[in-house]
Order: sequence, then structure tokens, then C-alpha cells
Amino acid sequence: MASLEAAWWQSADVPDDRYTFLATSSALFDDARVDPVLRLELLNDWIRSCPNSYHAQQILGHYYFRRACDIRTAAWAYEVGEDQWLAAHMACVIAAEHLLKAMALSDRPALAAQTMMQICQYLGQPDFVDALFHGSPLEKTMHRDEFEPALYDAACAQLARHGLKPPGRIAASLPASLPPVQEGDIENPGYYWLRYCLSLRPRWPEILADYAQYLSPRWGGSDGEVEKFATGPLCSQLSEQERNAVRWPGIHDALTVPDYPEPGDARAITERQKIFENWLSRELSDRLRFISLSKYANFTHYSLQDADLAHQRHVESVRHCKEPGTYAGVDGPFRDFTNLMLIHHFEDIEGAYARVLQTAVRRFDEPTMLIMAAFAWQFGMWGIKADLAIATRLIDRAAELAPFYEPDEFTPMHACRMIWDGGFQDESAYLTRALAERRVYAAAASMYDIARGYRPDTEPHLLDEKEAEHWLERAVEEGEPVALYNYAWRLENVHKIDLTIRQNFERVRDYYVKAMEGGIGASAIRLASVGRRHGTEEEKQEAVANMKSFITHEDDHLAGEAYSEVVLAYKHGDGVPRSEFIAMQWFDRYKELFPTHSSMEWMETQVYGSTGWQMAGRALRAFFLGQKLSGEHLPPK
Amino acid sequence: MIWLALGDAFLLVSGALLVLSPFLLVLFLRSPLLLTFLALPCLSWFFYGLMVLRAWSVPPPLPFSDGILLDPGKVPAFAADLERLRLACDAPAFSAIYVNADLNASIFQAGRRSGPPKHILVVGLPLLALLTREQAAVVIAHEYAHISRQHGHFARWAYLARQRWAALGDLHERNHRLITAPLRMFLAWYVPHMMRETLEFSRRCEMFADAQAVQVCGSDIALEAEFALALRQKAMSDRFWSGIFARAGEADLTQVHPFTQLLAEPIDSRPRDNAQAAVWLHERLCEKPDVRSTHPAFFERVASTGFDPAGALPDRLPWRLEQTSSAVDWLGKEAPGIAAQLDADWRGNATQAWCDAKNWHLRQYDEFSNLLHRRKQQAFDERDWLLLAQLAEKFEPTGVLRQEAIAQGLQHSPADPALLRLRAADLDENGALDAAIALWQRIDQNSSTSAYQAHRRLCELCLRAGDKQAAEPHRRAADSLWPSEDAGLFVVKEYFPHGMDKTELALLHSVLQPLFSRARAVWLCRDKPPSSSSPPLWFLYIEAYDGWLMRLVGRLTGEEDFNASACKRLLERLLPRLHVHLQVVFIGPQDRLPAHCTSDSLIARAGTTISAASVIV
Repeated sequence: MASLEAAWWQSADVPDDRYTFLATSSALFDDARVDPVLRLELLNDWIRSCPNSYHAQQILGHYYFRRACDIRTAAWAYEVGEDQWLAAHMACVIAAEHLLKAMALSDRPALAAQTMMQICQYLGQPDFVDALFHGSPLEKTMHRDEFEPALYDAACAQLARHGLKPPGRIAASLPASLPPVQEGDIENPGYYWLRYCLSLRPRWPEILADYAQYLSPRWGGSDGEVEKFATGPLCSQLSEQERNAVRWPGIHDALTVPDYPEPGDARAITERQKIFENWLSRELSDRLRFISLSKYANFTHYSLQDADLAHQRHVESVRHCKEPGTYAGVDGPFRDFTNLMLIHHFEDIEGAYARVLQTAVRRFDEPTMLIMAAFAWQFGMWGIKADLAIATRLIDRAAELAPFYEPDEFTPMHACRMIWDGGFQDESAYLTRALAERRVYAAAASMYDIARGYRPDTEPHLLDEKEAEHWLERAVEEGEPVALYNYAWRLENVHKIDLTIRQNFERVRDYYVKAMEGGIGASAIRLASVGRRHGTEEEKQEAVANMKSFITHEDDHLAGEAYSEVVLAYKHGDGVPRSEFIAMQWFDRYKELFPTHSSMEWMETQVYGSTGWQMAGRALRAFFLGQKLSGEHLPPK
Repeated sequence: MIWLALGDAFLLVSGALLVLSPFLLVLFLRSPLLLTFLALPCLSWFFYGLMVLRAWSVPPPLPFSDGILLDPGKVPAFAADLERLRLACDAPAFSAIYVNADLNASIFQAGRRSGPPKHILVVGLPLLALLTREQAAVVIAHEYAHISRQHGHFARWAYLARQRWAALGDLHERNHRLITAPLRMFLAWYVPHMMRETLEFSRRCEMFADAQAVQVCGSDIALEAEFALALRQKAMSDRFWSGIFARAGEADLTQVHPFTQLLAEPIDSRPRDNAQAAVWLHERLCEKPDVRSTHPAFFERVASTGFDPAGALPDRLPWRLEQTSSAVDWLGKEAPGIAAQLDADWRGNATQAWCDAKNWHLRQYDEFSNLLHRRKQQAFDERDWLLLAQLAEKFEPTGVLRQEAIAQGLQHSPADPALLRLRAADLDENGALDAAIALWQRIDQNSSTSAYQAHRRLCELCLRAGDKQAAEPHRRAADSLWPSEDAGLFVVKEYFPHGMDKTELALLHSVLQPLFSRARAVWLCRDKPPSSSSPPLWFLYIEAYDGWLMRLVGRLTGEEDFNASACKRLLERLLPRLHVHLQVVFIGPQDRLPAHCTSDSLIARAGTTISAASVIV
């Protein structure tokens, strides 16, 4: 480490920067193979055996910070749970403790200060560091008695998933070498650490780009703030290419927030295209050009609907991608490129897509990319020679990475589905089965869909009733929400179990409840339907009340289904007083809002009858003689 | 009066008929079969009748909301002047006088049923503190005029009627029983008429009271009182109360005594000078009559004194107290005690508002600190400099930072109207009137959106410089621009066909499709021509289907505007899915089709979409 660090200090532009890669990217361990407890043990052993090692403390501090990021996840702040926030802050406390100790052990603790800056910008400076700067006693110590017991326990459970424990007594002090704080630094500690970093290494474009990220609108900055920073005093020494790297977070937000314009939205498309072209005409590093061009290609495919041009742009982008670099995430350009190759069957010009997969294989760390690579190696796609052994290793590795996989919009199962949609049914079934056998990525539920023939145009030899049952039961065992829904639905509609028997009712209801908790919206409807028909009076009332609150659901189909349930409740008097008139009012509203809903015809027959005479007769009867309930039973105004 | 009586009579008769319906049926129906058949509905009519009668018996208004009862023996000067005015107005004496916190005066009259008639005067301490004795006498004479013509009784009756019909409205809201149809239809016809007539009558009462006050006090002093009151109202709402709450950052609520302060006529309870007073009055004189108000417009009130609202204002305006205030003359030593009590009451009610103001102050301070922090690391643009200048005025009292921010901002963007306005205000403050005039002329030339404000400021500056001739054209120009400033609302001057690209229009059609089956026609317009580089505002005009049958069903069921309501509900779901933000305007069956709803802007008719190719010219 010392020699790598020395090389890093000697040159401002290190072409192959192994020092920061090793010290800040968790490259010391293969997380999939080294147990988190063991990782921590090894890092602590390093400190114990080398108590004066700056890097031992710095790397352990950084390790804790990375785990804090894992606990927080990359989700939007409002989606992060209170226990996650608390656990992340606990991890940051320990991180900061090690980083401050590291700073005391080095004359130029640049990377430790950089991590402190990242902690401040991303998760906030720990309270004890604030207290040290204030010179005041620490008020909050992260001890159990300061929190709600349930919250504290939940946070501890979050930490335990990563092999961490809550912080104990904090024994850190501020290193004497730190510069004094200036006015405003207490409120903006990130800026203090940035200044410190720049005082240690005045030409450090990466840290400025890192800092700029938190000024972008995505992170709460105002429009144009990144640009103001890039043209501000701190960036005055940068070259234009470096300044563009600082600008990138702001440009990235302008390009992708909100999402790419819908096809047809001509004015927004033209506007976004201008930003892309203006940006791409600037002086950019290869890495930034690769990222920017790949996004441009994605935009070209989605918004401009020009697959040929999008493919050309993807190929061009890959030309600028230097190994071991690859896409920052799989959802986005990689997904789009994969879509073009699988669905549009483009020829792999310049072997660009194969290169992406080869890089993924070398990196061996991204499961969706590895599944695509397994597809290529298993079946000899895009000029890659088939090699079953490599393919099997790739599938094994993708399965191995499953516990570390943060849910994404493009999962290995999405990749398998895309392979299916590209006309490779056998190949997709092979990969899906391989993952299902390894019990990862909810592949069993997909196998059920394949064997049952739910996917369009399934080839007959893939259909197998017995196998479908097997995979469904396996998926239910694994608690997969879709499978739970399917299973309950089959019990209700295929096996037609007698729901008037309380035990059967509760069994089906419980499956729907679990599916609903897993995010399957349709299960809320089925749950209400079952409750309305077979529940106790209280359950019936609750079911109708739930459906009345569900009618504003953003999904038209689900909202329509909720209306149907309310109509039937009034028609049959389930959980509400029986009233043909009110049922008609709800039906009319349902028809008004969702005229093309799939249940419309059937519902109309139920409410008004099937012929014109019936319709007129029932409407007049309901209007003149039907029970008129109070306004609260009517659909909302 | 006739309208109110008609409504009350109808309500009583309907209620009584419904309550008596079981007896009436027994009396008049001979068939036992029919009686048995109608027995159950009859019972529901009986209860419905009870509910109607219950709506009729709404509680009367409270005599007054707050105030301190004045003992006439302790304020002999006030009592003497009241008696003088009473005799002049030939009105009954006030049975009680209250002082409250409003810059206003009002009366309350109670009927004879509950004892002897009550004529109560409620007068605000701010009014007494900020008007002279003669000016306040005009206001009192106005109130006597109301008393003499029993206007208070009418106001009370109108209030009760509005409460009754609101209660009935609630009773009939979404009530689909057929028996409710006749009363609901009457309600739909009667209430708008009654509201219009009672408001019109209220305005006539005000005009009568104004005329009476002129007769008693003389037109000159009546005009002066109108002007003084208008100026004080603006100063209080724009400056005094905002100044009080601006102190929330540093002062505790217990240290604040607004009403005691008012007794000393603080600087922010009045305009800066005669010139500013003139401009404030010019603005007030532009206000249009409001049909929803019980009071006439300001120009109508001053016209009742014989003054020409379009003419030049008098040279000397009552922008400050030139004599002692009526509070001093009339309340004497009682005034400080009353003010202290009002202060205490106000503090009791203002806790939450004070807390909000404190938080607002803290947020602003955070923003100021953040700007100072950002200045160290970022290159500011003109908006940042402007914000810094505005916040520095509050948080950096020396003014150095404000000056610097304005200078830096103007260096960055020399024609920025907001920064120029700040610079002009500073010049005016420092007495550099010529330079300020030059700057406002520059603002007027550079920014069409600032034209109204520029003319008003130029008028004020010219008047301050003593150049009435130069001020007059600016007043006229500002007056002519007034409609666009009406109530601070943005008014679109011109509309254009949507001019959308065919693909974009198809995208819009695909989302709005469910709406089209409910609408006879739909138009899409924009406020800027397609060639304009700035983003337009979009307006969607919808003419929903409307037929006599649907109207009849709607009235019978109480669900009116069936298709228009359907369109509104559909839009609630569809608008968030659109790629553009649309402002929706419904064209009712009685409305005239706006001129800009032409074939060029038509996007759907009778359920069929109209594609761009056929409409773009």
C-alpha cells in the first residue's frame, strides 16, 4: 500500500490508479465468498497487528462507510426506513472513529479525509464529530436507552446482516493536524473536509466531481448549482475535461430527471436532444464519453424510437469503454443494448456487445450481466464460442451473488424473460430452470409460468402440468409473492375449495395477504372479493371499505376491479345495505371512468341485465322504487 | 326584502306540508288500500319535513365577536360627539359601544322579541388611533345612518337566510329521494337570486349611509375620511402587521404591543409621504366593483362625496395625522388601558402565527447562511445575487453586503429588472430622484412585464420631485394597465391554436381518449405562438355534452352537469399522465364559446379526435 500511495502522490494523473481502487472500493475481498464476520475479523486483526498503520484504520473506516451505504441502499431517501437510517448512522459513527484515528497516523491522510467528506455529504457527519469540533460533551452516544427499543433492535438487525455491531464507547479525538473550523463549517462539514482534502492535494479533480454530485437536484441542490460550482473558485485550476467531469452530475440530472420523454413528445425530445448534443460536443474523458454516449443511445431507442441509430450509438459508446470499466448499473443503457441485441436481433458490429459481456465475465460481480454472458457461452451467441463449463460457472456465480443483490429494474429474471421474448424459448427455459434449481431470483415462479403456458406462444414441449405444480409449490415455499397469489387463485378458482368452510377461507385469505404484503396489487382485490363473499359481517364491511379506498388506485385495471367489487357488494348486500339503485350509481361511475375495462360487459349484465328491455326496466325500478340510501353510500363526487 | 320573505315563506309552507302530510292524507284519501300503500313513504315525508323545519331554525348571529365595552361616563368627549351626530342623523342612541382591534366600525341591531331594541356600535382602536376626530366622525355618522334606517335588522335577516339555505343545501346534497326534488329545484333557482338581491341591497344601504355622512359632516371632510381610511388600510396590511411579525426572529411575543404602538402613529402605519399616498390612492381608485361584496367599490364611495375619481387628487392628502388622533380626543386617558387590553388579547390569539413567523425567519436566515456559504465555492448568477441582496437587507443591517450583491448582480446581468428595481429603490431612499427616475425609465423600456410597476413608481418619483405634470401621464399609463394587475392574477392577453406536432398531439389524444366520448368538443390553446422560444401555458377548453333530458335527470337526482362532472372526474385521473400541464376551462351550456376556440385549436369533436395534419395552417 505504501508504494502504491507514494506513486499516487507523485503524479496528479495516474492512468492506472490501483491505490484508490484498493483503498476505497472494497477490492480486498470477494464479498460473495468471504463471510462478513470474517471480513471484519481480518480487518481488525490487521489493526491489532499493525496499530500504527494508517491504511489499516483508513480501510476499516471506509469499510464501515460502505456498509452504511449498503444499509441505506441506493433508494430515494423517502423510501429508506427509520431503522435503516439509524443503522447507517451507527455504521458511520464507527467509520468516523477509525478515520479520525487514521488521520492521526499520517501526515497526508487524503483518503481518510475524502471518506469523511463522503460521510458528511451522503449521510451526515456523526454527532460525536460535531461535538469534538464544538468542544462540547457528546449528547447522543447511540446507546440503546436513547431510542425506542423496537427501532434500536431493528437497526441492530440491519447491522447484523452485514456482520456489524452497534458502536460502543467512542474513544476518538480530533487529530492535531486538522485545520481550524471557519464560520459556517459546522453547518456544512462536507465543505470543511473538502477544503482539507484540497489543502493536502490541491489538484484533485475526482474529489471535486465527487463533491459536485451532492449539489445536483437529485441530492437537493438547485438547478444549475453544479454548473456554478464547476465555474466557481475551487475548480478554477481544472482543465476543461476535468471541469466537465465536475459538471456531469448536473448534466446527468438534466438528461434523466424526469425520465426520458415519451415517444411523440416532440418538444421535450428536441430539448433533451439538444442537451445531449451540446454535452457530447465537449471535451470529455473516455469514461464519461462512454457513459454519455450509452445514455444517448438509450434515449435514441426509447424516445426517438430509432433502433438502428440507437445500436450504432451503443457500438460507438463501447469504443470508449476501457477495461475494466463497464456500465455503472444494469438498468438503463445495458438493458437497452441487450434489448436491441435480443429483440431486434442486431448483428454484433465490432463485437461490441460481446466485449461488454467479456468485461462482465472478467469482473465477475454483476449477476444480470453474468446471466447474459452465460446465455452467450452456453449457446454460442454473438461470436462467442460455446463453452458449457464457463457457462455453468457463470450461472453458479450469478447464484452466489444473489444475497448481495440490491433489487433493480433489470434482474437476472428480467434478462431471462427478455431472452424468451427474443425468440429463444428453450434457452430462456434452460437458464430459468438453472436458477430455479439453485433457488435464487424467484426463478421458480417464472418456471411455473413457462410450464403452465402463461407466456405467449409457448412451445408445446415446454408445457408440463406436473412440473408447473412442482415449481409453484417450490415458489410458495420460498415465499415468492406472485406464486402466493397464483396459488391462492388456483385454490379458489381451479380447485374450487369450499370457502364457506372457515379453515379454507383463512388459508386462501392468508396467501392473498402475504402476496399483498409482497406488493401484488391484484391480491388486494381478490382478498376483498373473498372477504366480501365468505367473511364474517365485520370482514365483509372491512372488505367493502378497503375497496372504496382502492378506487383511486393509479392502475386503471385495479381501480376498475375495485369498483366492480363495490358494485357487487351493493347488489348483493355484502357488508353494506342492499340497494340496486346504489349499485347502479357505482356501476355508472365505473363505466364512466373505465369504459374499456375487461369486466365491463359481465358487470353490465349483472347490474342492468343483458337486453335493452331488461336494462330500462331495472333502471326505472331502481329509480322509482329502489332503496335510496344516504349520500355516504354513493360514489364520491 | 321580498326575496327574503318569499324564501322564508316557501320554506315554512313546505316544511309544514311535509310534517302534516300523514294527517292530510288521512283527511283527503278515502281508499284504505292507497292509504296502506302510502303509509311508509308518508312517514319518511314527515321526518323530511321535520328536517326542513329544523334547517329553518338556525341560531341567530352572535352580537359581536370581540371588543371592550366602553363606559360613556369615562369618555365624555366621545359621548358628546356621539350625541351631536345622533341628533344630526336623527337616529336612536347606541345602547352599547365596544372597541375592538379592527381598522373599521360596524353596528349590530337586535330585534324586539328578546327585550328592548339593541343598537350596538363596534369601533376599532386602530381607526380611532389613525384618524382625526373629524375623520372618525364621518365613519360614526355613516354607522348612525345604518341604524336610523334599520339596516342592521336587514343584515341580520339576510345572515339568517344564508344560514338557512346553506343548511338546506347540506340536507339536499346528494339526496336522491324523489320527494326532495321540488325543494331542491326551488333551492337551485332561488339561492343565486336571493344572494344577488341581498348583496345589491347591502350595497345600496352603504351608498345611503355614505350620502348621509356627507350630509352631516360635509363633502370635504367625508372625502378626506375616505382617503385617510384607504391609506391606513393599505399601510396596515402591507407594512404595519408585516413589520410586527418581522420582529418574531429576535423578539419574544410578550415584548410586542402593536395597539399601544398604534397610539403613537408609527411610521409604518402610514405612507412614506404625500407622493406615495397619491400613488396608493391611484391604485385603489382603479378597483372594479365586486358583485360578491356588500360594499361599493372605492371609486364609487369617493364619487358619493362629489369628487371625480378620474380627476387629479387634491394637493394635500391625509397621509398622516396633522392633528391629534380621535383616540386621544375621544378616549383620553382610557386609550392606553384599552390598547393594553387589546394587546393582551392579540397576544393570546397570535401565538401560532408568531411561531410560524419565527420559523419563517429561521428558514430565511438558513437560506441567507447557505447563500454566504455557496458564495465561497460557486460562481453566482443574477438570481443568486438578487436573493442575497434581498436577504442581506434583513440580516446584514449595515447595507454593505446588499450594495455589493446588487453591484455584482448588475455586473453579471446589467438589464435584470429585479436588480435594477432594488438599485432604484436605494437611489430613491438616498434622495437621488433623477437617477431613480432614469433607472425606472430603463426598467420600463427593457421589461414589458414591469411596465405597470414602472409607471406607478415613475408617477410617485415625479410627484416627490414636485413635477405633477410629468407624473400625470405615468398615472394614466398605469391606470390603463391596471386590468392585468387585477387582484394580482396573471391574465393571458392572447391565445393561439396549439400548433402541436402530429406525434405529440397523437400522444395527447391517446391519454385523453376516454374524455372525448363525454365531450361535444375539446379545444387546446396556448398563450404564446408556436414560434416563441419560451415554454407556453396550455389551456384545454371542454364543452361537455348537455341535453335537456340529462339536465332534467340531473335536477331530479341532484347530480347536475352529469357529463361535465364526468369530464372533471376523468381529468383527475388523466391529467397527471399527460406530458404537459394543462389548465382546464369548462364551457357551460349558457357560456359563449371563446373566440380562440376555433377549428385550428379543435382537438376532438363528438368523440372523434382531430389530428394535427388537418388543423395546422
